[in-house]
Amino acid sequence: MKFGTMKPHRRERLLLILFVLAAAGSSIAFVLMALNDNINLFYSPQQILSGEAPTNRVIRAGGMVLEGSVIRSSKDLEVRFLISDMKGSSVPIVYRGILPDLFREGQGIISKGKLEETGTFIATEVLAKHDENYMPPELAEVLPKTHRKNGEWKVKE
Amino acid sequence: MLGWFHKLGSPKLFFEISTRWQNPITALSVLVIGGCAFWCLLFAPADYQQGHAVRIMYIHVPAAILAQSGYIFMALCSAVYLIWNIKLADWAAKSVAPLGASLSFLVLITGSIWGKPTWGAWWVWDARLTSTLVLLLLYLGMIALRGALEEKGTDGRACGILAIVGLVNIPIIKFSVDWWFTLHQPASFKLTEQPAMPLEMWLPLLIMVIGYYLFFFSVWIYRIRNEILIREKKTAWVKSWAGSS
Amino acid sequence: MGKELGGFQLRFDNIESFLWMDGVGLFVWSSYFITLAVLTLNLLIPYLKKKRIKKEIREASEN
Repeated sequence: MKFGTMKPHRRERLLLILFVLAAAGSSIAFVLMALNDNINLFYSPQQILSGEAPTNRVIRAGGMVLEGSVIRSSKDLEVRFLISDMKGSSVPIVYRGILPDLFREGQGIISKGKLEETGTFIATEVLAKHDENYMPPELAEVLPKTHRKNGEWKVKE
Repeated sequence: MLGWFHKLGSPKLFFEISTRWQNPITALSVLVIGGCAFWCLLFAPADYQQGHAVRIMYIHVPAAILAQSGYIFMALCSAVYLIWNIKLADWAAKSVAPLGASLSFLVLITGSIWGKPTWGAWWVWDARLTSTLVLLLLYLGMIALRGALEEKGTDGRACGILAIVGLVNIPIIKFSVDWWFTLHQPASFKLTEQPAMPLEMWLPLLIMVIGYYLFFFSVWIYRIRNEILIREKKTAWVKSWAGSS
Repeated sequence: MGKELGGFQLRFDNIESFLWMDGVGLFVWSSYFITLAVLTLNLLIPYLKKKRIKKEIREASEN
C-alpha cells in the first residue's frame, strides 16, 4: 500500500482526511491552550500564594498534606492542615466534615472551598488524590518510604 | 498488489473467513475474562492504601483501553471507506459504535463506583473524566447520525468524517492527566516504563486487557456479520446460507 | 490471610470477608455485576439479531 502507487483521486481523499484531522487538531489545540487555566481542576499552593487564585469564590486547591501539620479539634469535626507543593509553598486549610478514608499526612488531596483574604482556605469538601502506584500492604511495609514514589507531588510547569 | 486488500473487502469472503473465527474467539474471550475475574477478585493482592477497592481497576482499565482503541479502529475503518470506497469498511465502522458506547459507559460507571471509596466523590469535572464523557457522546452521536441518515445512504460519509474529527479526543484523554491538574491519577501502565505496580497486580490486569480485546473482536465480528447479512440478503449465497443449517 | 492454592495466595478467610471486602464490597461487587451485565448484553443482542435475520431471509425465500 505505497502512497505513490495510490490512484490520484484516492490520494486526494487521503490528503483531505489528513487535512481535516490537522485542522480539527490544531483548532482544538488552540481552544485548549486558551482555556488552559480553566481546565485545571485546582490551584496549586504556589498559584494561591502568588495571588493567581481568586478570593471569596468557590475554587479548588490541591497539594500534599504536609507531614505533622494535621490538627484535629477535640470538640467537633474541624481539621486544620497545610497543603504543600513540596517546593516550599504551603496553604493552610480549615475543614469541618468527614474526611475520605485515604486522607493522611503525605497524601495528595484536593479541596473545594473559598480562599479568604487572610490566606486561609475554608474547605467544604476534601477529596483524596491517590497516585498511580499500587502495591500490596505487605510490600509497602517492607519498602522504605523514600523508595516509594508515593509522596511525590508532581508540579506541572 | 492490493489484491488481498480488495479481496478482504468482499463481504462474502469476509463472512466465510469469519465463520471459522467467531466461535473460537468468543469462547476464548469468555474463558479468559471469566477465569481472570476469579483471579482479580480472590487472588490479586489488596492495595496498601485503597484496600480491596483496587479490584475495580481490573475491569475499569481494560474497558478504558478498549473504548479508546476501539475508537481508533473505528476511525481507521472510516478512513478506508472514505478513501477506497469499500463498503465493508463502513459496515466495520458501524459495528464498532454500539460496542464502543457500551465500553465507554462501563469506564464511566466503574470509574464512578471506584471514585467514591477512594477519592470521596462519584464524579468530578476534571479533564480526564470530562474527555471520557466526550468519548461516550461521540459514540452515541455516531449511532444517532446513522439512524438519521441511513435511509438517505449518506450515513457512512457523515459518520466517517465525525469519527475522524473526533479522533482528536483520543490524545486529549490520554494526556489530560499529564497536561492539566486532575483528580484522576496518571497512567500506571506505560509502554516504555515498568508498570507502577508489582507483577502479582499487573499480570492479571494485562490478561484481562487481552481478554477484553478478544471480546471486542468477538462482538465486532457478530455485528459486522449481521450487517453483511442484512445488506446482502437478496444474494444467492446469503439465501443458501439461511436455508442450510 | 487465607490459604495458598497452587502457588496463589487466597486473599480472604471466609465467604463473609469475601463479600464484605473490608467495607468496599458493595462497590466492588456492583461494578463487577454491571460489567457482567453489559458484556453479556453485548454478546446476546447481536446473537438474537442474527437468529431473527436468518429467519426473515428464510421466510422471504420460501414465499
